[in-house]
Amino acid sequence: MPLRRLHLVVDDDLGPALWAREQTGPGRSRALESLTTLRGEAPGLLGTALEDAPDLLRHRVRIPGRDGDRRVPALPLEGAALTSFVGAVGELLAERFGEELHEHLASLLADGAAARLSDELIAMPDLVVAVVLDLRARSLVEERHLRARAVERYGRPVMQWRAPAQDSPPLLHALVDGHARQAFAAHLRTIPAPAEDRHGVLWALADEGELRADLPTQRRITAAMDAFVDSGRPGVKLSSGDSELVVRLFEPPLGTAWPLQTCLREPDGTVHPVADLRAVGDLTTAGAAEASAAVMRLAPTVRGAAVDETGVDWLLTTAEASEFLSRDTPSLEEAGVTVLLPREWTKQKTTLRPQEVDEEPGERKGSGVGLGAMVSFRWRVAVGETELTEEEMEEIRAAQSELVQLRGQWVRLDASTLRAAERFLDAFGARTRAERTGTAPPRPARTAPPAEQPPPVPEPAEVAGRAPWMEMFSLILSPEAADVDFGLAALIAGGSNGLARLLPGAQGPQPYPQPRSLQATLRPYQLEGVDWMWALHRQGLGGILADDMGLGKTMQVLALLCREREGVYGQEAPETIGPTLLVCPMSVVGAWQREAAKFAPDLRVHVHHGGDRLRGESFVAGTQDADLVITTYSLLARDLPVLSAVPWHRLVLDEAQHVKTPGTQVTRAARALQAPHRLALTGTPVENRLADLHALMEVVNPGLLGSAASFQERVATPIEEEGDGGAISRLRLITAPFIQRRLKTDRSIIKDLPEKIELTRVVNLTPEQAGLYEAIVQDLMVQIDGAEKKTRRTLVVSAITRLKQVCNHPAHYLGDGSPLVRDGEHRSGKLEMVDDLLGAAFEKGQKALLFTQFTTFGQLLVPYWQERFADLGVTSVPFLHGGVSKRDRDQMVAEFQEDRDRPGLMLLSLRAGGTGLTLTAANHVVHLDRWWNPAVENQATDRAFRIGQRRDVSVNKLVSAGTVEEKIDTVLDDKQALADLTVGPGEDWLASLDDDRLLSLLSLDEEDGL
Amino acid sequence: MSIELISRRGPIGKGWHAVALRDGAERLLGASRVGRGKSDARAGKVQWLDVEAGLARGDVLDADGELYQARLELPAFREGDREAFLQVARARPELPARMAGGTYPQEIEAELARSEVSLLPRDATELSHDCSCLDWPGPCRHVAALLYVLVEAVDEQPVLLLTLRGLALEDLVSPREPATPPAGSGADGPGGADRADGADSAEGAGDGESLPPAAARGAWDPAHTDPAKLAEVLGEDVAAVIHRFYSHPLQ
Repeated sequence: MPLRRLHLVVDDDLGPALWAREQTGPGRSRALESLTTLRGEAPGLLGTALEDAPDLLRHRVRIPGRDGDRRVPALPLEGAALTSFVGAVGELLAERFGEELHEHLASLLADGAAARLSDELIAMPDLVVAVVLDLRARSLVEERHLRARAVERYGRPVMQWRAPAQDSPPLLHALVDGHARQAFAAHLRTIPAPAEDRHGVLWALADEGELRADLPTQRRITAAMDAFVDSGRPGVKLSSGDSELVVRLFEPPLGTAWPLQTCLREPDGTVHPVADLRAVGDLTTAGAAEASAAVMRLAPTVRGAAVDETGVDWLLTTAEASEFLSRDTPSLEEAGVTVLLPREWTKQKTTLRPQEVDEEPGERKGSGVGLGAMVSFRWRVAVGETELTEEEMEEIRAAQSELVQLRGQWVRLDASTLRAAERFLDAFGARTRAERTGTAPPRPARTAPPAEQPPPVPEPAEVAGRAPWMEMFSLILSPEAADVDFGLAALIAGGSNGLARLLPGAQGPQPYPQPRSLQATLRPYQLEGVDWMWALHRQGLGGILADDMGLGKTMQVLALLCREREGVYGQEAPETIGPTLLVCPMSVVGAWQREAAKFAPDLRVHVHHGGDRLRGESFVAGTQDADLVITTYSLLARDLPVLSAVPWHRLVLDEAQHVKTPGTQVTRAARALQAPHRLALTGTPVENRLADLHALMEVVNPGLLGSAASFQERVATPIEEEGDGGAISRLRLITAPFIQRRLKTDRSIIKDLPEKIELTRVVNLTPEQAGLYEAIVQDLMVQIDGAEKKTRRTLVVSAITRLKQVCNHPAHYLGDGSPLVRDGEHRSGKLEMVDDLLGAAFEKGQKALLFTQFTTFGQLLVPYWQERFADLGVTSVPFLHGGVSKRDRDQMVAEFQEDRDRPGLMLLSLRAGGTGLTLTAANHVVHLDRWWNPAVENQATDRAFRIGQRRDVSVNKLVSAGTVEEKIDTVLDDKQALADLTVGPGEDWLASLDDDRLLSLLSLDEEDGL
Repeated sequence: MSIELISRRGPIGKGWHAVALRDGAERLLGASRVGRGKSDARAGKVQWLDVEAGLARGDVLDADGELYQARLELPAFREGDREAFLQVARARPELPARMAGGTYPQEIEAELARSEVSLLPRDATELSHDCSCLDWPGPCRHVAALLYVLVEAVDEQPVLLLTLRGLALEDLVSPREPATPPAGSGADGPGGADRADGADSAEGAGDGESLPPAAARGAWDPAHTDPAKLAEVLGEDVAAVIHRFYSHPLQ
């Protein structure tokens, strides 16, 4: 029997094919034309593998030989035929080598050697390679490490399995295809056939099943399979399509060019340059090119810029970088591309710094007093912390670019702010005959020459001039000052005289000791408040004392009255001082009376209140003997004629928000009363709008802030609508001397008040709640479709109320008297959370306040809690709401305050419980539902968090997840930020939202909701 | 499903490269086919366009209601031309981004001209066509319509010119040094006595290193595959069957 050599080749057209040659003599051989003898004489396994093959080899494959290519008869093998043939060869080798099969194969492979299968049969190196590849193909298929693609073969669409790496040897792909087909067919047999296989993919993957797909569909199938397989790789999977595009600008290294980099942001927030991603293979060249192309599409400046060696990043000139910042950045950001700038590179503004401000001592009579006093201002122009010299300002003007280099640092400058500052200085110069200098004027005497030579600082440009305060203030509020940012931090000199002492950064009011006749020790900040009111009083100016509730505004006013009757060093008290008229809400008349009697027993107090109050002449006469006359807002308007007959020394308006609405009788009356000194007291200076601040200021310092209309246009609107920092700085500069506001949260103010821990608790809705909630939203969206504006508003507001009720409790919304807890299961996420909070507090013997805006809800809760917490000693739950008489109210409060170390619970309706109460026995505050007005909520919270509280107070605000409550809470946070700036926006925005935004605000976010 | 042309009137194609392709091809078509092809293309007769190396094709709906498959062939670069092109292209790292962004810089063609290479058809004879309709030898109106669809596609995506020439954006970036040196590189060079007639199957027979670096690095796990990637094209049920196959590997 002749020696036969078996080859396995991969032909371009046929794919894998077997051919064999038979030795015909020494050094001579011929290619087999037929398989018959081979099949018959080959070892059993091999024979079986070739059983189904035709006898005659009809195909020809091209074989490179010594004398050029030749064509030899061959048997194309694919699918199972291929795998069983190669498998059979592998088996024979395994039989021969046994345990050491792998070592032998490796060495055969390394040598490129042939292997003997039997005495007469040799597997040539290409077949040995096939055996190795077959082992690999098997393990790939076992691990399912496979790709699949749709292709046309002989004009027919088919599916092909592939090894995972595109550039694997074709034979490996073919072997993988063969094994995977069998495995997939077996898989299909084990599971029920799917209802629909629109392209016939499954059977095309398993056997010769027909793929029903035209060419574009074939491409889509392949792409889908690739995406599917690639999704099995964990970690970074970036494509320019679904990652966020980021452009990053760097400062130029050593005065060269500005590198601009195309980057992608992963979902976890990390930013990678596309050039790096491409280098490590996380991004294809096409993906990187696409990302870079997207930047060029959106940023015209970049298109013409020099490209660096990566081909996806650029090197910008300073002019281009500046152009990029001003022109391209907005469109990039609008298209959702993040632009990252060097460091904290916000756009710098030019600020105008009042370098030295002082009132001129001199004539203190007539028009020279108060706002009529002359004041000198000296200004400097600064960018960030750098005060500019004349030359630098000139350079910036000349640069006409957003990027300027100041003292070696690149600065991104909003050039319009420099122009605004200069425009203001021109106007200032025209009104004050100012002088402009580039050199420093003589500085206020320094005590000692500096010990060592400081580094030379360029002398900043300055403009100085003088005018009366009123003129200065009106200039600052004039259109000339629009867009000017006043830097307030750095008043270095002056601030030692008159009103100038009260400017931010100045020396502050002249300090005096606390009045002897006051029967209490003032806290330092209270004494400072008295000094401040005293200083304003001396200038004949009014003020707004806007300290947080609980900081003792009453005490400060009483101390002021004591002081002016005692006199201070250098200022003897006059013989007689007229009475001070104090106007307050009825509810606090008693408190004023008691505090005056307790702390300032020397003051003669008269209460003008009640049916038996003095009228006419007897009132006027009676007030002559009084130091403090207390009346109420309702009487202020009604008794104005008789009140006007008294020459008041001072007018004090407590809870001054009562006079914030211009045009009301009360406000008109307050403005009409004559008094040389006016004070407004309020815990919330501007509860809703800056217009309120203007209104209050009109009462205490008429005309200071200009007309309501011009104030609204030049200050309020820019701040409220655009958060205009310049407008805020102008407002601060003017109002700072006249407003005193200390916050309870400021630890430097009160060191002995414990912590307040505020938590917003997000609770989940129960399925019952979620169902009701969604029904309401759907109902609303149907109803408002096409509804008129007014109807729409009503619908929206009432729907929001119903949604809040659902968030509270289904029984609250349904009003059907169903039990709050059903079969031990909570029906409301909120109630469950509250029960836990309360339980924990009661265990520790602590008390809690609960606020709700729904009286009906409160009435459901009272009996429920009385029963639930009886074990813990809470048998009665007082409910303080608008319908409770004053006597009962006082009774409730007194009882609640009584025993501090026993558990207790009080329920309050938000409005009724908002003011005037001290409930410091409680150290837990829960807001069951949200009022969406931080000022009101904080007032409520402060019932417990005020002086007298000895424990840390925890405040829990409950918000239902995924609901309008949570979404508005986000808005609330922003509003809180505004309120801290003494600003608050209106609330009308909810009903005026368009349908889409309204829907997105109201609708339930499912994944959070349940 | 048919392709809508952006151009409603006048010449089709705006970018210089699209114009050049169109002009070259219009000479092939002849005047009478030009008008017919344009109006058929604008009428959305071309159902789809597929571009691969050397070949652009699409199904075109005839007035008789039949679909005919038209083909335009532009030979892929042969080795020498390919090298010449890549040499010019790789000297311009920004080229991939430019082409992805829809422009094909004309300077490139100028540089290529020195080696007598062009990404575009050098002349009408470099293009050939075929169609399954009976209008033989053509060019038929189906080919003409296909051409205008191709021109507009190339106008927007000059990358398709690369595809026709057998190139990809990947090729335009100079090959980077291998991220990890092939582990089993010793087994890589077959070389041996029988090499001469051992045909081509020996090359690359060593295993591990043929995986792309990405696949070698991340631990690919079939259980992580996401059937949603398949569902859109294949349907939920089929996607589930395939996903099940992947997520239950034999151990």
